[in-house]
Amino acid sequence: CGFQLRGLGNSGELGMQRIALSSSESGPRDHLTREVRQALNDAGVTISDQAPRRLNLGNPDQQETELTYGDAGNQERQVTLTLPYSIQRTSDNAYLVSQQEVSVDGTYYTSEDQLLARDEQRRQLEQQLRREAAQRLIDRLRALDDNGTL
Amino acid sequence: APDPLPADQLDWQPWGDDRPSDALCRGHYVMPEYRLAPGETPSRVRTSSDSADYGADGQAILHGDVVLRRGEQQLEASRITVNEARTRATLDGPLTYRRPGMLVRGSDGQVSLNSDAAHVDQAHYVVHDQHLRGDANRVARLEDGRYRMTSATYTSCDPQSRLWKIVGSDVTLNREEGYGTATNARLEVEDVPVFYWPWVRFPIDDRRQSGFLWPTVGFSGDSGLDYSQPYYLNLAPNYDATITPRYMVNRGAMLGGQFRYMIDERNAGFIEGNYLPNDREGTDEDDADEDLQGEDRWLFRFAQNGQINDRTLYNLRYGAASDGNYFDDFGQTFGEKDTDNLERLARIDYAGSAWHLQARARGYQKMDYPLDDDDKPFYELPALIANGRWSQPSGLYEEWNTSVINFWRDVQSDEVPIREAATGTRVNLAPAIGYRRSPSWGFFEPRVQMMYTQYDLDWHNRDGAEGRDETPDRAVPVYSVDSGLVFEREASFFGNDYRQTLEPRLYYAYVPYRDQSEYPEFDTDEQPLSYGQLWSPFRFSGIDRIGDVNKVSYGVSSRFLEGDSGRERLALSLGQSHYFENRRVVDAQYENFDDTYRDELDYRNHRDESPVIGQLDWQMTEYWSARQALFYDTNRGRTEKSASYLRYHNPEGGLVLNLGYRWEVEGFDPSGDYDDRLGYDRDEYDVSLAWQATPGVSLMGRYLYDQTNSRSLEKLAGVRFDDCCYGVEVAWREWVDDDDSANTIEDDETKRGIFLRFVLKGLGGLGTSTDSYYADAIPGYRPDRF
Amino acid sequence: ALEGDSGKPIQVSADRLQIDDEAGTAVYTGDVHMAQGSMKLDAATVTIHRGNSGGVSRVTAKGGGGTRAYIEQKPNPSDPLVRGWGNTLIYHADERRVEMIGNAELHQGEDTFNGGYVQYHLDTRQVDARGRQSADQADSTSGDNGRVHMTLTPNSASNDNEGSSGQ
Repeated sequence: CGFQLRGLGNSGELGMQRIALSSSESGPRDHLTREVRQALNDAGVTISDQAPRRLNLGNPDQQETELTYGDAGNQERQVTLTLPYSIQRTSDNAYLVSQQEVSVDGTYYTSEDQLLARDEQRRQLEQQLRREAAQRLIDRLRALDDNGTL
Repeated sequence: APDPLPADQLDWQPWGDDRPSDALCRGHYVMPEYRLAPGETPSRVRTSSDSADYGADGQAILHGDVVLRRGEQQLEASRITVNEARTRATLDGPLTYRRPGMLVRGSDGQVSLNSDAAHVDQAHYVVHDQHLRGDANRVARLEDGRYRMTSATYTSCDPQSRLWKIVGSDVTLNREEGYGTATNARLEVEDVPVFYWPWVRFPIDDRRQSGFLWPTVGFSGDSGLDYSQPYYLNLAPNYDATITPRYMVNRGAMLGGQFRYMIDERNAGFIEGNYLPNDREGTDEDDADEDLQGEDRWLFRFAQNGQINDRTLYNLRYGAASDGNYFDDFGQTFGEKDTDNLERLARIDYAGSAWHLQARARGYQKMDYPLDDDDKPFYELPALIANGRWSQPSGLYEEWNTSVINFWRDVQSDEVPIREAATGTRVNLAPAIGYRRSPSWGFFEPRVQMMYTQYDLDWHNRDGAEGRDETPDRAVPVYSVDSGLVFEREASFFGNDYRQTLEPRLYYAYVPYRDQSEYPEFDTDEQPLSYGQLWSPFRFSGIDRIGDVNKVSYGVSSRFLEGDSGRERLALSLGQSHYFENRRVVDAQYENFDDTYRDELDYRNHRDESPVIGQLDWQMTEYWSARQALFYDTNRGRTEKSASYLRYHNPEGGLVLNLGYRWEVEGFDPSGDYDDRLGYDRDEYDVSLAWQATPGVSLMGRYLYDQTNSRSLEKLAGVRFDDCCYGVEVAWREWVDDDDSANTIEDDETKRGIFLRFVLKGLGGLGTSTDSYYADAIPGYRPDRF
Repeated sequence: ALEGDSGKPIQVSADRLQIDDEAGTAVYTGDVHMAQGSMKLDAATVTIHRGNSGGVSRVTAKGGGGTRAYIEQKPNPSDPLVRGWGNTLIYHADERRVEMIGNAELHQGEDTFNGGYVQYHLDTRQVDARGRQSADQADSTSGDNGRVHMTLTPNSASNDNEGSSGQ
């Protein structure tokens, strides 16, 4: 039915080999940037400032809403992570893609009776969302790469 | 004060057909072109007049429609005299003073020609882009760019409107910092004095999120009319305070205060306290001795966080309230009323490149009343965490996770179940080694983690715990292998082309059984089944219970990515686990479950397959999206959980709509104590919306209906009227308080509350809703949009 | 003016000279240059009127061929040069004042005046300028729409004055 392993043979592999990365996350809290760096490396892209394209990561925004009601037992809470990004041509700083964003969400359970575990549960979900957001970002780069915008 | 000027004298231009769609005001201020080109250098002064005389002492006197231009300053008057040294121009007759974005008209004035200082008497002023205007006996522009006005007025209303204005004997506007100050200021509404401040500071642009602290008027069955008026004190540039007297008809007068300070841009904090001596109303608990009538009710909160250096963060927090119902009775927004705990925390984090170290002392005051001992959370006094991670290009990685936590709680050990009766220290060493390769066509991650846990406990000779080991230890290996492939093809549906992926996933996890039934339960709870849990070896949160498991999980996801942008339009996932052995580690309260619930738990721990979990995310159009999650138990042919959502999210366009349906079979959620588990199937409809009907009116609402007990759990309605220079917000909510006993609905109680808030625009009031509860209750709601 | 200017002899050079004794006037035409002490005057035609006491009472200079009449003078040694232009310049010797009429312009130190009519008192260095050529007469040729333009330079220590600015 036409499915082929990604990257073998056809255009699956990311065409560009190098990309510059700039991020507005700084200091000890740059978890999402590290995740994007890892995803880029996994996709065979090396990060170097001399690359023809620069990927700018904005400040990730996190919103949380309560899905279930009531304070008894577990509440299911949904966390939405949004990562704004843009891509520039390093030669003349022209924006190839600007004000785009990747948004992923997931849910975690928290209970008023187990407050000690609440932060850890949310942290684990955030970690997973960051990895997923990085993956979605690679999907975007791959599509832009295929249709020649990059 | 000077007599009024017609609107067109204030650069006012009413909107014609150029009216922007979201305009709230009836026009705007437009700065006309300069009438004279500036000199070659910024300091050169150019003039144009009907005539000019050059006095004997070198004074230049210009007559007749005189225009003087110096850099960005332009002066117009009937007569201007420039002194011999050319350092000062004196203006007579009706004059106009202009700078970018600022207009001052007055009877006479003086302008320095070699600095930016100037003053105009009997003046009217307009700040164009902040839509502010007013008049004053004298408007003086100081060297540092501030405007100081004596016996002045200040408002953001359109020229014809006298809705509100601030009158102050000395009003200073600091456009650079974005705030103004006024001394013995009074607020006049339709020229009627309404409020007085000896000294007040107010934001004049929207840089500061906090609007002018304006009265909150509430009404609830318990408190009756509830009125609070904050007074803002600016003590120094980096610290200020608010005093908030509050009066509740049924309860009496309460005094609140908050002191905010900023040590530097990285370290800031606040201290807050509220105190109500002898609450006349109490908290109307059903039995008298728990009612707090006549008691003092108070709240104390402190928080400071910051950075010691680039790698080290700290935050400090302490919160305490007189009782667990404090926020239910005194919360001024529904978000505040929803507060379920007050955290006490001293934490320092060091984030190295490989190591992440944390030392903390933490505890909570749980906002329940009456709070019985077994609901009291444990304190971590202290908790030392050290997590390290190293990875090699080959894909190999090592982790070292350590935690040493001393759990403490002051309860009568006989009042609490045995599993929570002990206090003591728990050391957990959890080294892990793994290998993760994720080329674009898939991923493969075998991983082994050793959980070594050592307790040092004191059972406080709780009866039933005599024989228990005081220093139990446990070593549990956690083996897991996660793998997946990514297949792709080009596919086109409904005319546009997509890249469709097919992502099979295979996961195996093995955790041997260890008898942990006599271990304490400090920070652990059994988690309900979820899609994420299929691919995780852990059935419990926290560390006190490492659930045994021997399962393989298999699943497949398919995603449709838009051809040109790569945006995910549709994602479908299916997954299931097959268990090779029964799960034997259960929550410690297993013995005292009632039979029906124990059978349900046994069934779940002994079945060979987990329910099939399906998840569908479909971004139908730019704004419409649908989501469906389904947990279907194949061998009992029963849906255990189903959640369906239809969402229209267009915050920029001013409409967010959510339609939701949730079904959970009774007992699906194994967590919590016995009285925390729903005693019935959860069958709820959830409708919520946020809609900016017109630029001036925003509606927020939520309706949550419990089908099983055919009752509405929550009705929430919020309306905000925005006019040019003020906003009014009304929020009404009726909700069911289950009194922390979900297993029965007999003791449930319906509560109501209504809040009314005024926001004066131009005093920084952004007109955004000030209730954080909307963001919690309405998915997709964004406070800056509605 | 320099103290001694008024007493100094007047030298004039021009292409032609016509003298009309009854009217008591001498009319020089063609590239006329006149000097008296520190005052210099250039114009297309210069008419010198003699008062009944025989001394020069009035000098009328007119520009021509697109250039205006020009006068310059050094009020006193410490002051910068004063320079004036106008379609017509009238120098009243006895009242020690110069009228510049039509497209008038005066530069005095850092200040410049443009307008329809500018009058300069040599001894008191007083200047008055009007948009229209003369107080009552509305004349369209008197500088742009009957206005007087000045440029001043506040002499705070910081600014770099580049001497008396030329046209």
